[in-house]
Amino acid sequence: MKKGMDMLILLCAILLLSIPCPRSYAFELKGFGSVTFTKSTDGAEEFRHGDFAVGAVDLFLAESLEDIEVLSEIALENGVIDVERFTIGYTFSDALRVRAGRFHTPLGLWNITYHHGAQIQPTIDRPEFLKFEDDGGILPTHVVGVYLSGRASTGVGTVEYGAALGNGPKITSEKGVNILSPNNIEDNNIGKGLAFNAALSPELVHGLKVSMSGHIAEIKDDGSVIDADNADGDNKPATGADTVQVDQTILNMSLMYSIADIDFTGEYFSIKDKDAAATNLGSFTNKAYYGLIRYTWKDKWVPYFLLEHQSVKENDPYLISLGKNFDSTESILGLRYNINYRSCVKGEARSVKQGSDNWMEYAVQWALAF
Amino acid sequence: MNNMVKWGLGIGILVLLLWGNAYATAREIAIISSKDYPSNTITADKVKEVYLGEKMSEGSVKIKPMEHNDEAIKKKFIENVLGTSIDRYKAYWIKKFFQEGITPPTNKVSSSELIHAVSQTSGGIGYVWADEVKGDTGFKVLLRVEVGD
Repeated sequence: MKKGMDMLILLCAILLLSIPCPRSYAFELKGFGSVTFTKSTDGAEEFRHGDFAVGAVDLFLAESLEDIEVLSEIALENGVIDVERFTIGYTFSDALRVRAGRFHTPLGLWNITYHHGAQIQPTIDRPEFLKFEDDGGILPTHVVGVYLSGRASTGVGTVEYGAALGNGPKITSEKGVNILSPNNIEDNNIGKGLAFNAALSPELVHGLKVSMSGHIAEIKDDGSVIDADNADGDNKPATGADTVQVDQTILNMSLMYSIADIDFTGEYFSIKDKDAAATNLGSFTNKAYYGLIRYTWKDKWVPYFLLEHQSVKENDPYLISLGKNFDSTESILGLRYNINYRSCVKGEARSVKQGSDNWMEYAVQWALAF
Repeated sequence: MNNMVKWGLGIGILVLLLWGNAYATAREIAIISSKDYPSNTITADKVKEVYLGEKMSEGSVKIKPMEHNDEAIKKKFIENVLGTSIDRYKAYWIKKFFQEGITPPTNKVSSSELIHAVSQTSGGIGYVWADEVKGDTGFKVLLRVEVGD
């Protein structure tokens, strides 16, 4: 059944992409693709042998049909077909745009700036804590619901805002691993997920953008999660006290600044999980941040450095269920070469610390917008 | 007498050169719009916002920007009005299109096609060489920008 549905989605995507565009744009864009080689030293099982990986093949369509806007992004990754984004929208004015469907949660800058396209992303991978739900991320990066957004020029600068209401996420188990899920077709709790963001690009400081955002939701497991850290080793769903139910509040502050050919981006997240299950373990506030600095030389060469860190409470039931209840720090030194505006090669050396483990990773990626 | 002829020729050549240079540097791009566009003028900054997908409406009219397919005028427009390079402009639109689903300006193959499309499209806006807009009343000229030779 699942395979049949996957094939149907894929066929629809190919059909949509093969329809000649009635208008001619300055360029054609149908999607993104990438190939990555990663080799790690001590510590991680992953990449120890030096692994080639085909990244998500991302098929993209955006069109305005008689003023109704449609956006579709379908990714083929690890043999699975996912509808990453699908929205129907209408723009009333610059100050009010309405979209409904599945979209990226307006939480932080990275999540609404780089999406799934490796070619437009500054680094090879997203920061660890910002990874997508099905890739082990701890933040609700997708939401299914409605989204209002807009922008306005004011005396102090350009103001942008967004507000989304959608299904609250759930924790589920896929292939024996607990992951966060955006609840694509139903909501397994009463409380809806609410997200908001506001950003200001002040007139006084050209190139600066500051923003704040947040996400509030009730998160429950769907009864299929493997208990905590699978301490009993039975790989079976949790029961009783292992049930996960938290009231979660995420707050974010972000800053983006470009001067000459130097770009700096920094984001800070506070993730507060209040245990709402019978266990009533109390509240846990976790922190995560990253800072990225880039220098663009002659539009071609972009050396960069990224530092990311997450500091968590190890007894937080939400993070325990996702298997992420440990501190981690990663430093990445990278170099990007833009072959042209559609394609780039990135190389990175990464120093990774997760809990008490340390290791190095080396990675090269060739990314393309086609 | 010979000297006077030489001086005369020299001055004449100089005047021609200066005039030619002045003519060459005076070439302008005209930003044109459909008649229903709510404003009769536009600033270069607003043109930039329109072509970067930041400004999508004026009053109740949705703006539909159009692009010139001719590389010469397109290059002048992107470099002089938008203040960027063609490659950066394309890279910008790949990001914008992908991030927000906002469609980039549509391409028109010639000035006459662009003028016709702008005239016939509500909220249409485009750019052509200023000397190509004489005598046509199906559109408005919102701005003229000097772009060099």
